[in-house]
Amino acid sequence: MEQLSSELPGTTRGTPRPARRGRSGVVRHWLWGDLRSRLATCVVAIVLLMAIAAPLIARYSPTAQNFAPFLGPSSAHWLGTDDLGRDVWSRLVYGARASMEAAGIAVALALVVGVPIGLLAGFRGGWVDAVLMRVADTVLSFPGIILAIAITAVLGPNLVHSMIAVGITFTPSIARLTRSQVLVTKERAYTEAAVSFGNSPWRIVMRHILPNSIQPVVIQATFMLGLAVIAEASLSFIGLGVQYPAPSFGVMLQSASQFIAIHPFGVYPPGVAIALIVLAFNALGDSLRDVLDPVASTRRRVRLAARKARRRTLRARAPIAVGTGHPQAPAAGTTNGE
Amino acid sequence: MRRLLLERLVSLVPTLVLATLGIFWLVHLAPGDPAITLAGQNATAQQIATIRDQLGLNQPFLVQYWHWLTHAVSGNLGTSLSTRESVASEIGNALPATLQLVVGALLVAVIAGTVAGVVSARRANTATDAAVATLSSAGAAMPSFWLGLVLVSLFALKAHWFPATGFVSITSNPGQALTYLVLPSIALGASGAAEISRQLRAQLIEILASDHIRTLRAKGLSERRIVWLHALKGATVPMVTIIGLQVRWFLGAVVVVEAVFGIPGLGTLMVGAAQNQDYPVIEGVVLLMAAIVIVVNFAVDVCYRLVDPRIR
Repeated sequence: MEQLSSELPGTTRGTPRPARRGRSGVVRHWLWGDLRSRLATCVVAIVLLMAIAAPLIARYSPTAQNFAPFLGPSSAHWLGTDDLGRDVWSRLVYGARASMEAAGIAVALALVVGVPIGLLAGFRGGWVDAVLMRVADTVLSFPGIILAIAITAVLGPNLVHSMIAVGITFTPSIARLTRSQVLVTKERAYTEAAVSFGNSPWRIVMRHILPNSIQPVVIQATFMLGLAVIAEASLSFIGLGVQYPAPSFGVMLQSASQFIAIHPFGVYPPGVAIALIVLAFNALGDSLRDVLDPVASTRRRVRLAARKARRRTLRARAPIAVGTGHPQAPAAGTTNGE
Repeated sequence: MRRLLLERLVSLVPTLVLATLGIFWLVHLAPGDPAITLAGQNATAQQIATIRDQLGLNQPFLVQYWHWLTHAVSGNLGTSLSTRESVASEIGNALPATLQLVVGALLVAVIAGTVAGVVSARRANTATDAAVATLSSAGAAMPSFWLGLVLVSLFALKAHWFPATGFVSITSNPGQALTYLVLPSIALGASGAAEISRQLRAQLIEILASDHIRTLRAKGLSERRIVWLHALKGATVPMVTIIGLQVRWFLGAVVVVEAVFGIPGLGTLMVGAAQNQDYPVIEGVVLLMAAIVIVVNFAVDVCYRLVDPRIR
């Protein structure tokens, strides 16, 4: 989390700069700034807790079978039982663990590979840049899941392999985004100053370019966590991720789909869990963007408010007070997820 | 103009070559020996060696790639390791179902997305707008195959409005084909509709505040005409981009949606091939998908220039 909350981006766009927050202030506004981010933080915290403390939270073994299949929710089985009489809540808890592992592996791989590629391409330029970006474009011309399936087929189906495959499909987007940021940062005065002081390229990249280029990448990575959760479920659903009978949202949906005619409730727990987790990661991505780029989001809000007022005026043919979103008002965390 | 398009077309070649090289290399890395698989369990070492020779497996990597590429260009994608049928004919059998589904999903995405986008832009910052926004973030967060399962359980098994699973070709029985197509198209297209509505809303709000729209209002045109005729026209270019991106997304997600609805398309073919390590089929499907995406990107490019002559 340290790197997320490092310096705010250079704000040279002519608008007054919002009050600078301390490191803890940024994190607080990110995770707890408004209702949406609070809910999202709670969801992610609960899911992480489920993942870490799965054996304590699950009430049965996720693979233990009893002879009462397709039970509805009850006090003994909070979310009922599945086709083999396994406790759905316990499987959901362990499924959350698989899901978080999956998201972590895929996104970490994309960052570890994509960011250096983007730095290299953007900083060196020339043929290195041309070659790397052509390769990135090529990878991007495959539909993500298709490429992931092909890679998983070659590596052999299991959770780690399928998430390496998903990470590979994420990498070019990260590399491209990093590169585009580096191209901007490279032209900044502080970089030129560092160059003129005779700093080594390594030091310039690590001290000046990377810290000032990384924020949009981190925001993008937050959204990718949600995408990775969906990818894990999809690949496990078609039998290429987590292998039956180990629990994962995708595996649970696969077996629930076989018995959907007799026990339709079975498709809801894992599906709702996926949707909630993805919503939470998306919300955290949005609020991180608002916090890290407060100038842009303030300006956007001012623009929107002004437009709204103008439209109202035109419609009602009566003057109306323009919404006063002052540029210096504390922007972040109060936008309602535009 | 024509020269420009030609230049763009030529610049596709390296991407395609890289893509094919990548696919071929990936499959080359795969464990296992296709010669042993093809020869069967009771083959002698002699027989396996003969097959290796026939398949050209003893030749250098680039030579093998060149053979594969020249065959692929002429439509020969090799033989499936599990069914022994030609990969091209297997793909040919599966392609129509997938195309039918992707087109259906595109229609759902564009129609629902446009209507939702226009409604929420016209009523920006009202309760309607908030409702559309909530729906669209839910649509973006639900995996399409799960939405498919929910639709099956509600509208096929409970309400019996549509068949639960299966597939009918649109050429053999159009009416029946449509009833089979409704649920999978919605499942696949919902996230696209969410994305289109979100982007269109932002675009339209900006356009509706612009001067030329103000002039149209001053001329006394009805708001409906302004929005549907003039403002939407201004949003075409960004919409074309988004629709182009959606095609790539659909071609991926279609794999899992086909699995839910039991549709015998490319996704089903691909999943079966991945489970049986049937590499020639995997190669063929991936190649075709990449080719479709590259062609769609090119078409999007062409559309830009047709819609907006200012873009070079």
